Amino acid sequence: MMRTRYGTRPFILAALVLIGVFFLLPLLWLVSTPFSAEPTLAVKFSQPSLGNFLKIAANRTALIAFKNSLILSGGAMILVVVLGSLAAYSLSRANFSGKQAILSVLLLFSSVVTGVAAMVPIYTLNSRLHLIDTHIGVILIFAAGFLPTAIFILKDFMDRIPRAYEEAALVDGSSPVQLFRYVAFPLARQGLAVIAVLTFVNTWSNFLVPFVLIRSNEKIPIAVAIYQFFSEVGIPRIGVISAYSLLYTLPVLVIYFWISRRYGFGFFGGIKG
Amino acid sequence: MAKLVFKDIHKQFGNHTALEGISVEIAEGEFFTLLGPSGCGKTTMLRLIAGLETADKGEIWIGDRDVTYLPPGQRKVAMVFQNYALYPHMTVAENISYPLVIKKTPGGRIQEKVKSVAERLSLKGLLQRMPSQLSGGQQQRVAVARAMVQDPLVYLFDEPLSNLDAKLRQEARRFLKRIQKETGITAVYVTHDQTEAMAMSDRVAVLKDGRLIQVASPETIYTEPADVFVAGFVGSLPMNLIEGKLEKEGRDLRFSAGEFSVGIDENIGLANGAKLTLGIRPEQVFFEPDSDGGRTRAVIDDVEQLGSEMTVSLSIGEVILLSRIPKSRPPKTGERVKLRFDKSGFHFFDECGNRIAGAKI
Amino acid sequence: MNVLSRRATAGFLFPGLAVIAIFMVFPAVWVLYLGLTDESLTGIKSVMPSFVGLGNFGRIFQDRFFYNALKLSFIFVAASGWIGQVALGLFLAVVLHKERSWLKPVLKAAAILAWIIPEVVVAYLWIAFLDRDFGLLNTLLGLVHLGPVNWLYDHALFSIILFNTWRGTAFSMLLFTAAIETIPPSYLETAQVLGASAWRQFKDIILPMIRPVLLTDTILITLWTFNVFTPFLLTQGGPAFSTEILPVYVYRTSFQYFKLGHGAAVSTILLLINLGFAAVYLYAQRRRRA
Repeated sequence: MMRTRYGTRPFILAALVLIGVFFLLPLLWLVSTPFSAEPTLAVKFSQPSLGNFLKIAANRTALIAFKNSLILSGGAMILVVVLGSLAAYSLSRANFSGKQAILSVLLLFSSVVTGVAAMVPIYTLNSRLHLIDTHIGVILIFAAGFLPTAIFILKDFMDRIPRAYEEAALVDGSSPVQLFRYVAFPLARQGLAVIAVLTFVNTWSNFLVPFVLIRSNEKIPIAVAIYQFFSEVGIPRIGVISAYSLLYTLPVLVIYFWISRRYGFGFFGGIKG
Repeated sequence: MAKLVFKDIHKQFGNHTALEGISVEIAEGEFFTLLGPSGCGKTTMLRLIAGLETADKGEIWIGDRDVTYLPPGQRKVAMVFQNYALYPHMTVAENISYPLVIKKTPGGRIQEKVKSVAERLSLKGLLQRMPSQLSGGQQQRVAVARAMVQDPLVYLFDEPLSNLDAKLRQEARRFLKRIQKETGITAVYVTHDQTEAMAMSDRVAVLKDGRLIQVASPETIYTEPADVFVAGFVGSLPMNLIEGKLEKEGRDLRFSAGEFSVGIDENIGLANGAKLTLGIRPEQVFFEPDSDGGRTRAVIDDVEQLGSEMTVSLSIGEVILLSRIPKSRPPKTGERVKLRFDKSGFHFFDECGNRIAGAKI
Repeated sequence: MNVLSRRATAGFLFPGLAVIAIFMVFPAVWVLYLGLTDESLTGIKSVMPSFVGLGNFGRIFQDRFFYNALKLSFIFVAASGWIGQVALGLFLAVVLHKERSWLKPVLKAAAILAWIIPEVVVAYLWIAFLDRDFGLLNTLLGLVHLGPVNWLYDHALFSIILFNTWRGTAFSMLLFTAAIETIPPSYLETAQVLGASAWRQFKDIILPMIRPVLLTDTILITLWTFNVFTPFLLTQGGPAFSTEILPVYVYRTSFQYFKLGHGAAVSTILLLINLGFAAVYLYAQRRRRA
């Protein structure tokens, strides 16, 4: 006997299988090709080889780009965590009128001023400040983009820290900086960890900002390097690109897995993108 | 209106057995209650009748139809849930008429029926309100109205009163019973509250671990509980249950458990040395000041005043007994007293906890 | 008692706000001015741009490529955002809600992977997937004697729409799944006992109850899809401008044709459109609260 619940009827099942295949197919290439001895654009599972990964180790651009990605993502991460937690702490403990308004306006700006809509003024600004083709220029742009969301989330964490801790420290004669350094910062580390990894992943994955702001091959991050590998070189080095892409993707997967295990989907919903 | 039959129903969830060999016949127009602690399978039974679950084995009949594998919508049953499941985006009128809309009833007929049901349940003034604007009691009546309007063969109630406060619950109890009797529609009612079961039902089925322990009228369940579980579950205070054994003493038999000991007439047909459980309802345990040094002595542990009655906790060595007596001068904690029982209220259960039939004084 | 003094509050707040003000707020405001100049990427105009008034805007509104990009962006948002991500995400969330088979975790995992893998990588995955000669799609079509089709050339717009649907459906699916899970099971069971069809259950109960989430999701998806640059990595706006959505148009006019003033004027238009989406969002939220 058939039951009349949605999800069990054959045509819906067929649709689900089709959609599942549609989502799965493009991913196959990423798991097959990096280990292929004769990599092409086709999906083939032939004899496994690690040759492609060895070629990356010999590719100077790839190695430099890896280092550059670490610098950009790490730099943005540190800047966002330090400036974001200071500002969040200040907003959490201050009670001047309009602090909620400041936050709302900043959030509004960060969702409206996307990399796409602001690439021209950002480029012009950085070139006036002589920050074009520098890592710090890219880091500052990323930091400015993530800070409003980071402050918003961190303030929530800081609001939950009982004031009794700080009052105890004040009685001991702590300065504001010491309050932050020894009370607020350690107590909010849960939130800080999330903000840190999300800033890292978002910077790591972004293509457009470094693509517009960085000119020289010595300074490009992985995202731009991969783009150059497949667009500028005559015959794309498919093996290297696929292996490099896989290595580039892994940290992102690890971090999202970690966050969703710990905090569930709600957390990165509003933050990614 | 129809009778409802379970024939050897089994239901398994993963490796948890929810129901095991349930067979029961519910008569036409009967108010039938499934009573038991949470996880006993009573809600599963209800959901099997509704068709929200399907039995692994066995048959369910409503009237002269085998409905075991029918989809829920074709069983002609109406269900009222614990949270009422009123749709928050629909008005009261829309909620009540929704079943008729689904069944493609003509518009004029819908209006007529909603009007008559609303009148009957005094919901007339509330028809244009949203559920969130109603009190708990009103929401409950709307849920009942939505069931009534369907003219079902069977009403299914899943703990419909447990979201109401104590005072409203009494009122709702009478109201539900009245509606059921007036419409004459068979009702299956699930609850874990024995007071509700006793107050409302024609018959009660007590369930435990997926099995039917006893199916009987509330009166029988109270006076002749089938086993220690039913004995302990039914009654506003649980029955006192004392594990001990029978010993011969001269011509008499005595039941003793540690320091507790009570004489039993010989003619109840129980052998010397038998291990058994003695059950006494608190209403049948009395005590008086210890003047003549009788055999069963107890110490007052605690006294709870409950208006016209009081509950006294007594200890005889390791054995603790509850006594419910009309309010009088409260005894003092620590006072020594002599126990007296209404021995006609003794229940005997064997080693497995089952009632020993005929062992009645 | 205030834990922080006024000075400490300001001191802690200042560095973060300064970075935001200089590198996000200022560019967004400055672009209004830049659009009125003939700023250029190279040459004398890059050092000493001059004021040209509304000239850039006049030229944009006569540029058929601008209208082409506007039209393509609208098609892209409607097809890959609304029909693709929102509708498909809703369908999946509703259908998978009660699904117990192995299909559910597999489908969910694949959709989430598509959503979180860095954009350069997904772009290359799709270049491989759609390749005329070696691509998996054409290989599979070949099995049933169809194709090969040169997807990125002959059906470029369709390709990036399909790509972006694949890329972003996970977000809507997860959001709707979370919303549906808040509906008490008894609501749907009541309807089942009444004999309501799956479609009526969806239309009468699920849809009205998740309407606020549906609105939020649609606006967010619209904003994000409108601002997505990844299709550039697949087609560079070609062939023959057939996939030149607004973000790609801005990039081409500003950085390939070096006309930053012109690009700034387009950016201004983009920012205003974004602001419009945000306003709709805020208005809807306020109405929901009221």
